[in-house]
Amino acid sequence: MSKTRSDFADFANPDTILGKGIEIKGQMSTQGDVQVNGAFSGKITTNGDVVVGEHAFVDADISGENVYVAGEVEGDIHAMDKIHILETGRVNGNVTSSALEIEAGGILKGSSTMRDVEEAVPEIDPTFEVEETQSDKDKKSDSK
Amino acid sequence: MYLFLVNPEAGGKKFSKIEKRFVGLLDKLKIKHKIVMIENLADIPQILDENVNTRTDGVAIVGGNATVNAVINAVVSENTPIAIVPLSKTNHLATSLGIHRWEQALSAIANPNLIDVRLGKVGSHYFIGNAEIASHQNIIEKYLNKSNPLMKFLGIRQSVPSTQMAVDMDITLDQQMTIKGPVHGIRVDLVSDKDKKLRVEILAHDDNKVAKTVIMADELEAESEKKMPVVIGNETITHTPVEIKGVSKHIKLISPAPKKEDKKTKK
Repeated sequence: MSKTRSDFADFANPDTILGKGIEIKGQMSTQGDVQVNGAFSGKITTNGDVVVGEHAFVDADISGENVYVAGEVEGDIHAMDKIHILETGRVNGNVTSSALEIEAGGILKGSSTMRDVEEAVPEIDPTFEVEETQSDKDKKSDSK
Repeated sequence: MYLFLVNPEAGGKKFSKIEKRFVGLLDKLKIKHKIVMIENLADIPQILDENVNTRTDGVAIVGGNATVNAVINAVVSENTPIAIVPLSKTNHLATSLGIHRWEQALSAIANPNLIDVRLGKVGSHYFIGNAEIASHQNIIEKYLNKSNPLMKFLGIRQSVPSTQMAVDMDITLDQQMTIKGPVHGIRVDLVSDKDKKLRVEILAHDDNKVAKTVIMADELEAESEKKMPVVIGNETITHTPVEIKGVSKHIKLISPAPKKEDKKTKK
């Protein structure tokens, strides 16, 4: 039995369902939750959640609020909040999120970047003090 | 006062045959009216310009699809209530409203129930509500399922259509997404509360089950291996290949008042 978003959270009626039995390609830019049960290739961008169902195959970069992977993803995933790779999930790509959870059996082949860390890096002040050398002291006194 | 724009050619010059009864019913229903005959559909913008003013309660389009399309294209204000009075058998907007006869339309004007609707277009025809593309077999099967008392009694709404009944289709959404594969049917609903204008539901086949795909879009182009009918209400209005799009324009349509049963259930 394939896993759907309702197995993960309250997600009874997604705005977009990409079902089985047909081949879907292209750029999907939408608002609301997206559930992929079949095959999709291209790019998915939404401000809602994305669920890649157990038997789904997605050959695409995915951007969403939370991304749940129970199937297979070939591509990078960017989540504003959380990426959850379930026991049957497989991601072949780089992931960026504020939180990452990989269940036992779940596979991530690629790098993982935590969104908070990534954004905070430029603002971090050095926490060590630099010892002033004699030449630095001389320069300061010259400027005075 | 209602402005009645009549296409005298519609429905095999039907208006000339019913004119007396038509005006008689208008008087009986106490509908204040002005009737203008349309000699040429291209004159409609000018006719509206000359006749629609602050005292106009609404514009009633008396004719078929061509008349409806021409008037809706020409109506600039989205606040002018529009009534559709079918004269020919091809008046799909009237059908989508549940109006099949001119008498019904006049009764609706006498007791107006205004609905603010988004318009869609199948090819060059306007529609409201939804449109369906389905194979002939699926349409027949759906009809049989609906009318089969045993299935109704058993509470079986729809049987799973067989793979053979699916037709290979090529669907393009917003010129950005392509969908290919065997499809049983497509249902397109016009929506007003989303960022896109159409909710497209595609029924495909997977392991003896119907697999549903739902995507929001503004326009859809569909081609199929075999010709598939495009149905609005219960009428086939064209066949694939077809283009269906949601139109930005909203209009105020006069529809029949809800039935008494509906009122009761609402309470």
